[in-house]
Amino acid sequence: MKKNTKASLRRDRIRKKYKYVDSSFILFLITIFQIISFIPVAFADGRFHTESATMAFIYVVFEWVYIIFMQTVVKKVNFELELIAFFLSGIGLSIAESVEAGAMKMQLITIVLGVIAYDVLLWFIKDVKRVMFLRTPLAVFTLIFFVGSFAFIYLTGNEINGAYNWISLGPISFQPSELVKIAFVFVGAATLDKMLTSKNIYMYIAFAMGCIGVLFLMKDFGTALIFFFTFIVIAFMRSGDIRSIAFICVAAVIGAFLILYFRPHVAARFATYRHIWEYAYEEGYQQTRLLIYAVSGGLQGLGIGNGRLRNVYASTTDLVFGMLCEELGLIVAFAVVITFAILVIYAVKCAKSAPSTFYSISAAAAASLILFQTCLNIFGVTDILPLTGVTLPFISEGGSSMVCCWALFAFIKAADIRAYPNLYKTT
Amino acid sequence: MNIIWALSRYILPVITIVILIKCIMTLMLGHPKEKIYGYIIDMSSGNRYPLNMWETSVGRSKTCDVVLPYDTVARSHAVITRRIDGWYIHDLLTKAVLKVNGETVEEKSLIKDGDIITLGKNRFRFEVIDDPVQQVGKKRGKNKNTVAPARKAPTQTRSTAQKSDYNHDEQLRKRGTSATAKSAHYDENNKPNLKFEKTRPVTPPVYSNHSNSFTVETASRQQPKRRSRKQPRIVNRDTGEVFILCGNEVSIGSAKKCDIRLNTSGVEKLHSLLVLYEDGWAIDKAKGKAYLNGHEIKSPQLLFDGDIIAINDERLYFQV
Repeated sequence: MKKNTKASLRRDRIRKKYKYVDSSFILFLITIFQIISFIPVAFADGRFHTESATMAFIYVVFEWVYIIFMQTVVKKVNFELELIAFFLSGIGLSIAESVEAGAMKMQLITIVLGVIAYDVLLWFIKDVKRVMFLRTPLAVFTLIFFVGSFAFIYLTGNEINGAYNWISLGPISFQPSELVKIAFVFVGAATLDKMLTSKNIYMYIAFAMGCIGVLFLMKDFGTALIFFFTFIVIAFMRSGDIRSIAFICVAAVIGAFLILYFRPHVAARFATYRHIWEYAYEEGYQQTRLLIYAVSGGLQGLGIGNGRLRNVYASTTDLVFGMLCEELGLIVAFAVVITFAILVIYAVKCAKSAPSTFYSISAAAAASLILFQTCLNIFGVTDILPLTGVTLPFISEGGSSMVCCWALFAFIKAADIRAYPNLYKTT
Repeated sequence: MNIIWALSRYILPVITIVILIKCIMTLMLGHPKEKIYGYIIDMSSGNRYPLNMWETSVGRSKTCDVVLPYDTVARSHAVITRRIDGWYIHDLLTKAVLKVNGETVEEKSLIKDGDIITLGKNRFRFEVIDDPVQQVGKKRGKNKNTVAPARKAPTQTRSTAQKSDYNHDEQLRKRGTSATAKSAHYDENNKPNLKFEKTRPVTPPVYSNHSNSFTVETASRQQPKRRSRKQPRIVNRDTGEVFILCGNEVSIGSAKKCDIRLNTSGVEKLHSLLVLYEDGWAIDKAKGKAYLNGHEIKSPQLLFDGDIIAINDERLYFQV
């Protein structure tokens, strides 16, 4: 009995201590990490790069200003997710700038846009009545936008790496599928009273099939796979019926085999899968180099700017995990992977006490989407799964991907009842 | 530079691990504990189904949060939701009957503590433990973490005639409890909370079930009713609005800044004040006329459970 009392007291102390994140200490650690990783970028080639140093300074100041503003003015109480996002985005920034001088500026702008998207979305979904009111118009608008985007890309002939998934408008180019991810989660989730009506279920199935269909037309199979996985998670969260989910998965696998059988050109895209060493100087060049260089990094890495994978095409986008392993080491790379896995556990934990089923479903869907995308990226480049060309969340260079990842974090955050301290009692 | 880099190879992984551990601990440990917000009580069997989520599905299907094994209940019959402005019950567009206090629910309906919900041919009583209605008076406290000193009781108390009608201790004895701490005290969040100690065991009433007709046994009526512990609150009889009292002062009036806003004509901008004293909540007049149980309020009057405050046409009940 005495032992139990001691244990419970200790548990209470820990609970009390960690009830709210000690954001300033973690941010201090993140700042040290970023300063150390930005120094070799600023002093690359033996000379001082003013622009790189300025951008790094702006980023660090932006982090501090944002957290202090949110803590003192907006009165937010916990910043775990924001800090994780800042940490990962910072790693991506230093890697991008070290490979291509000047890349940091654009990436920094997209981070700021992402933070704005995150806070706007977090504010918007605060009121579930407003969310439920706008779900149907958003679904219709998203489908029109997505089909229109595909038509525009197809007609302009903007085919990149065999897929029609990039819109180029002068100097700006973005992937419409990244923006649709946000809407996909938004429309998929619903409050319990709306969710249990059959009309709502059919509407969502039609919307999901429409989105995945357009992705197949775009030949963006990696993103289509992510959407399908998210659809499975949402379907399970909505129904809780394992048999239905198993039935959907079996049907999808049969459908995939039929496509590969009747459309051999699709199968040709995966010809190097599990055979990258046979095509080491052709289609398997990137993956074989990634495996060699990632191993050479060891546990602690060679240091930013000292790797050799940086000379391979798409080193800051698709192959960025290899860059992490080579230049920052396996420990940092695995810590990044664990972070994404932790997000799913956190989302599930939040889902139990979330103020609405909308938050529960959207958080689980968003977290699993990010985790699945991470898995596709890492397992793809290491030849465990077919290479699909999806980005590593927050770390890969890319504007639309960055904005999407920040926005998806808003769904996870909203499920935590502490996200709206003025709205809900947390005790 | 080489030295810095040689050191950083060790420092960066260590910092990463520390950040990760700190974030995991705060992510996983900082959640509020799960709690029961209310119950729906089967009036035929006496079964109590806890409502421990903000949205709870009710029906015959096993996938529902509350499974009711009755043929007249649909597979997914209704959803009970807890919103910041109160509890609601939603009809899931089934053909089965859904009524609240005998009135059919079209799409959704606001439900309050003690309401009778009819699902098919079965009746359930709705019981609230934690009311989601925003706590008025909270916004007034500038520093919520500090413990505010309780004020002294008003010197002029209620008249003897009123006292005999609304004796606090007598009401508590009727309820099967006796007050161990009459004065309101503050908890961590500066919310007043009255604590009671049971003096004799309270047994739930026994109901008889005769093929969907539910009559309360006479013997059980003699038993004291089981009531949940609640925070002091003001209930508007006409609108059904519930205002939980917390903080030191709660204002009543027509002004937007007032905690309890009354829109009827004749109500002053700051009509009356509810003030927390050592002995509990009291009402004081401000600018307008107000009546407590039919007597005009001329000086601070302590409030007891069941008191009726009349301001023009508005009737406000004080409940503990």
